[in-house]
Amino acid sequence: MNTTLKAILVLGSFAALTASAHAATLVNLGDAPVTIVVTEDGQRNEVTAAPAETVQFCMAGCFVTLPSGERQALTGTETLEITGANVLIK
Amino acid sequence: MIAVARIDWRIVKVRLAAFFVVFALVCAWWSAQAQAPGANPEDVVITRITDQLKALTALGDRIGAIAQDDQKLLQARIDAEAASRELINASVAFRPIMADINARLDAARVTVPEGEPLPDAVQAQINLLNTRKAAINAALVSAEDGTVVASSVIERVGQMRRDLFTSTLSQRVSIRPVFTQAVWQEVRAEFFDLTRRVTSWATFTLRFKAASMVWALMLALSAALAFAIVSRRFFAPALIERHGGDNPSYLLRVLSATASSLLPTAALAVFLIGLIVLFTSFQLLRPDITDLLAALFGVVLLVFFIQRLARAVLRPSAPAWRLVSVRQAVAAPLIWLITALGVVTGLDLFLEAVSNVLDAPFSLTIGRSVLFVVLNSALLIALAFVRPFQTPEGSALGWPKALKGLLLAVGLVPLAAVGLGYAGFARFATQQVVITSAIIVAMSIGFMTARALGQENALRQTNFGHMVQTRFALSDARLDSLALVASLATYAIVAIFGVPLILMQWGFQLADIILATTRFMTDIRIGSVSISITSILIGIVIFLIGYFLSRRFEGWLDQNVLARSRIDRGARASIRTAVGYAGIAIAVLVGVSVAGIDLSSFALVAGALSLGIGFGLQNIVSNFVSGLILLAERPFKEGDWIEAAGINGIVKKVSVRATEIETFQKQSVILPNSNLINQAVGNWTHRNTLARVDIAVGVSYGADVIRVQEILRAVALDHPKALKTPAPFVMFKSFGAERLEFELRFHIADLFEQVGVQTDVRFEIIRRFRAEGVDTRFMPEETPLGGLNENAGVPTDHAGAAIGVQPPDPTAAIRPVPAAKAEPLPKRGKS
Repeated sequence: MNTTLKAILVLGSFAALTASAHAATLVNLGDAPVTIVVTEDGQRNEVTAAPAETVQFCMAGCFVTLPSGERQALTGTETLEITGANVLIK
Repeated sequence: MIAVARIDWRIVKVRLAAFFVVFALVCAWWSAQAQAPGANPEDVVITRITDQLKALTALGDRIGAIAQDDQKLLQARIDAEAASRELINASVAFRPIMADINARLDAARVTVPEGEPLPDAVQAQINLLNTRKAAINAALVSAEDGTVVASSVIERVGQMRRDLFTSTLSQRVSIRPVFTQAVWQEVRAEFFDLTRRVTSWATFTLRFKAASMVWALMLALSAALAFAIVSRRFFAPALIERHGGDNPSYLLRVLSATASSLLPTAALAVFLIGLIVLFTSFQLLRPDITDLLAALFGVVLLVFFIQRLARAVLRPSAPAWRLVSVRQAVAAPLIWLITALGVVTGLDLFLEAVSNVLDAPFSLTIGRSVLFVVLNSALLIALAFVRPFQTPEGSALGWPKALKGLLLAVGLVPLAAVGLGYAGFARFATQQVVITSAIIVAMSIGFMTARALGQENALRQTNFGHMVQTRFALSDARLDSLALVASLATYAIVAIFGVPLILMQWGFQLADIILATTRFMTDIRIGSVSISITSILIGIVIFLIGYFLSRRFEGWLDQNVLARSRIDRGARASIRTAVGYAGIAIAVLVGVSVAGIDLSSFALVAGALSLGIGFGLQNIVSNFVSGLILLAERPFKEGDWIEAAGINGIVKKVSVRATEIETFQKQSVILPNSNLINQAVGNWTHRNTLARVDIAVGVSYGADVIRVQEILRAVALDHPKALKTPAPFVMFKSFGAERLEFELRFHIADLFEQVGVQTDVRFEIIRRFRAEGVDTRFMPEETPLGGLNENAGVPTDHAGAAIGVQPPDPTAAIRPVPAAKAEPLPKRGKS
């Protein structure tokens, strides 16, 4: 019995069960660094993205406070594209 | 009594109160505003949020009261998590509403040019929209605070559960009260309570709902029987012992063990679970009776399964079918011991459920723990002293030292703990050991099944495999691959079910296990690199799919498109190879990008190594590029007769690195492509299979040369395969030392027939020469030993033999025979 095959299959079945896991992404399309406040699992953290940087931050549901003070709720599958003051949520 | 840890709820309560007050203010303020006619869409969402916040507050108030009940604490945690999720989902629902409000605000502002004051109506509308926005924002703020509070509740609950667990384990009670009169009276009281409840329920149900009960019983029974019959029919070949003969294979034994333990248990489970479900749907049960029945049925199932499993593994009546070879005398007692262990554990679980339902006093819990630990330890110690194996000489052999020591330890330590008063710890330890061992044993059998399935030819030799093979008409190789797949699947299933079961037994939550597994599979961080196993596996799968698709496409293209077009075979092969390589390249690129592997780091490494690799691989790369050029330019194609590097042969295959040529002696020569590009390559069949045949003929000086020329030309013209155009030509080659040399040159259409044509022509030439008396002596192949011109003019008979040939002159020097022109034997016909 080929142990590699065995390992691959067990890992594969685990993978199949968890294949749909993602995280929310923050993409900074502007020229200046951008900071958002993320409240996840009861903890408040600051997440900063440098210009043209992509950061992943939220696995399963969180609240974010955008630079404009506006609050949004995310489920963990969204992409936040911030260009200066404009925020696009996909 | 037991000390309960004093929990500082004040801070949590203050937070709860604060945000609730804020939210109440928001609600008040919002409802005080002038309401637009008709409800706003965000009202529904705000209501959802309010409900969740109320539930959270209620939860917070409840927690203090349930500090002693682990089940209720767990439920509180689940409720808090649900509330948190619902808060987030509700908040997400605000997003489209908010977008709508913003759009309307922009639309309103746009109607008035910049700088001018806004008219009242527009201003009022803008104010209204802003109010709504503010309300939504406030709701979001309180929802966010709500999630924070939920998290702190969850954390508190976790802390309380840990404290409860520690206190249970470390509490030391006096067990003397267990043996007092008072305890026995309490036991009798609880027993009467139980019987009272059960009889009252039973009499009520029988009097008023007897019909439904009977219906439910019959339905459950028939479902279970149907299941049992169907499964037995399906697995009968594996279960019937005589089919295996006296020495069944390992796979057969394992399959039989699995089937004979799982299937009856499954049938019983169908019956019992069906019974509960039907009773509940027919509304025959009270809540307390439901708990009791569920606990009872669970225990019955557990004990039944353990007993069947022990029987299947140890098989007292069929020694050849055992999975573990134990002594015959020991098999039945072992089964009894193991079943007894199951019964004791099951009984303990059942009594625990009963005391939960009846709210039994604490002293009974201790008594129960003591009883359970004592019984279990006795059984384990008895098990340790069993001698199940046999030495080659025939005397009894006990367990391996380590196992025996372990069994004794697990038996004695809880006993000592109980003696010292640590009843909670003793019970916990024993219960954990017994249940975990049961799960591990079940998993081992699962793994053994999987391994046995995966062995080559194993499945084919069982009745079951034979049945499957004939039913679905599978070849042997197919059945083997099916067996391999089944084996791998079994490994996976056992692992996926067994490991979380063990973890849950030791206190991990299923949600945590799933979360941790997800994190592990999708995000392993090493420094700044994030590896996702899931993505890699998906990348591999996609590459394999792409590879097979490109192979299929290549085949289809060849069969359907290229076969119908007029492209010749060599070009078809080239196109097919090129398409195949392109397909593989695309599949690799797609697979790598799906796997999320960042190729830029590869590029860096590749750049650094490129110098060394370049030097080392230059020949290979040169061959590779030459191969591509050969495929594109096609100086020769498959089936051509080429001459390269001194090798003559037919091209069999043009690969990327080398070309395979088959010589006429059937040797395969692999020539690197760079040789074929850099040196001259002769291709006999490059444009056509036309070839010129040159036949050297020598006649003696006395022959009639004009007649010779006519004969030669006639022979060539007469041969059916010799072409008339270009016309055969007889060349007068030279005045040789011994004879006149001619050469007959004619063309034939098919190069590969030249040997036959040459031979025919030569036979014909000599026939005609001899028929006409042309002096044919001193032909190059037939140089006789001996004198030269002395033999000129010797008369010949019709057969062409010289009459009266003089014997060779022994004094004359032997003339060297000119080397025969080495004509290669071409392969007849095209390959």
